[in-house]
Amino acid sequence: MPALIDIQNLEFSYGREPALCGITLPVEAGTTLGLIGPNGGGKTTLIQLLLGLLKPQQGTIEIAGLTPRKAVSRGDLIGYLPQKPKLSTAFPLDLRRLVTLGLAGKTGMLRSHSKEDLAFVDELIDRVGLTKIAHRPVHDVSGGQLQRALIARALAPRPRVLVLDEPTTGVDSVGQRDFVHLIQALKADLGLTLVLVSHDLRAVTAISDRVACLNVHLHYHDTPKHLPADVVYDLFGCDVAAMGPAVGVGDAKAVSCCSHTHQPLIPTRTQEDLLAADERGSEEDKNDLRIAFF
Amino acid sequence: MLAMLDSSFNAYTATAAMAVSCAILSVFVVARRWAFMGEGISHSGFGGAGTAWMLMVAFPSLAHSEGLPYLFVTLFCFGTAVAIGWLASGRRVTSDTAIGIFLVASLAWGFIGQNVYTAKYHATPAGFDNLLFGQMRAVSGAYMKSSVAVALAVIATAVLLGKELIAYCVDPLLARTSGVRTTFIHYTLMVLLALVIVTGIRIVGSVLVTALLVLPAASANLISRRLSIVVGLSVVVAMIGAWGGLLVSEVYRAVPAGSAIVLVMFVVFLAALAMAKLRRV
Repeated sequence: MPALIDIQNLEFSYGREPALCGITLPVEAGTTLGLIGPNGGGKTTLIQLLLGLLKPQQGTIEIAGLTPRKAVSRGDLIGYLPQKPKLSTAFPLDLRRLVTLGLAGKTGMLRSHSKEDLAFVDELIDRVGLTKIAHRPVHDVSGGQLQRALIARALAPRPRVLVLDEPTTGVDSVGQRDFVHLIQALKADLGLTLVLVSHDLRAVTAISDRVACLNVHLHYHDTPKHLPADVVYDLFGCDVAAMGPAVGVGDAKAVSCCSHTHQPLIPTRTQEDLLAADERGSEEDKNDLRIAFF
Repeated sequence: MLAMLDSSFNAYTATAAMAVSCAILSVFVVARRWAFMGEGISHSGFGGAGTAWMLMVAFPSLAHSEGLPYLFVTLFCFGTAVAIGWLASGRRVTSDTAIGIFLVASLAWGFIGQNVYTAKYHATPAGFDNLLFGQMRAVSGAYMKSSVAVALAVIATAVLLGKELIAYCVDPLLARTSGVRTTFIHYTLMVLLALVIVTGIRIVGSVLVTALLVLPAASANLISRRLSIVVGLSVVVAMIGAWGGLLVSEVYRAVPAGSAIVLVMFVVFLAALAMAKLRRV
């Protein structure tokens, strides 16, 4: 299947500080890519590059054959759910109007929204369970309700790609489960390609077809079930760059998905191994699990 | 008598037009927290006038030109609006810093111009007080027509680009990632702000014009959270302030129209605040 998002040899740095080095990362249409990595590992930079907010210094990004800026300016190719939306608290706005704003780019200037698009907005509001409070001001709703409205807003122009930036941060476990169910259902119904950035490995592993581990370099790109615990530990337990000689031993290509190279790591135990060990009651492995999941 | 009626008609029509323009823009100014932006643009007008006064010193044939200061006020307001937007678009200077820089630089330049003029001609430049505090007497037909044209431009922009303006004011980043041309929308708002401020300076002066861009929406937001109602109430508040202030100024001749307009709007704001508090109780 052709890649809907095609990232080739991507390089980006802030001054002399490299943020992304040699990233090659194809995302096939209809799949979900989970993007994990430590703070400062380049996840946000990659999202900004995907959204056309930054320009690649080397390499290319193509979304459905278009540069990110052209893809975003179409208004109906990419939807985006930010981690912390900075909605103006002083603007009088209800949930339905907030969702409808997602159509602004697609409809274009000096034009009115089509009846079909407005009907789809109402359908989305219903799908995310906000019909009864659709006319409530955005500042009188809970964080979970606002997030669902923002998901509907991102989907209003029927995008092919939905980028989710830390969507489960600060959400309780019930909220996380509901979010996962909602996103999976919407993905199936609308044929979406998802890019999910998260620190929450439970959400990533539950939703993603493939996981990419980023810490300036691409360290891993494969299905979540092959995700080595060591990779997770390296990325979240301590800084991979600070691992020194430990990094570079072993061959991650043994579990990699594609022909491009990843920064090598030491794949030893997978999450499946850890789960099996957990069932055997090993205290040591329980600790590893906690590290792996949180 | 006919001339007085004409002037009165011009004054009430011009203030009504300005009230409508300011009321509509105030919804966006309050949403984007641009009260300080209005202050920066309006005070830059003083720098423009200072430039005109210096030119009057350099070229004495221009010394009695009444239109020159307002020409430069207009140029400086537009220039500052665009320059603030450009400077703040980079990562190194924040929006409020950019506004602060242009505000103080314009004031300093304006005061130099005023002092150079005073030193040369031993008199305060003509229209100095009017520039700071406005002047509603003897409003010309041309000014009235300009105010109406500016109001029509604001209404037309709000109608034609409403969804883009709202998307930008609610969250510029989300608007941009939805495909809205946010740079174009930003500069459109800046130009409209400059237009309205240049018009408003004639009536309430550069010191007080920001009040007209803040008080209408600030009052309306206390009463309702529905966009259509907030816009309608903003216009009502601005009209009460504009015509109420003019009436007060006509009854009490010592009260300047600009100050009266702003204070009437402030009283309406206090009433709206009291109403909002009572409704919560």
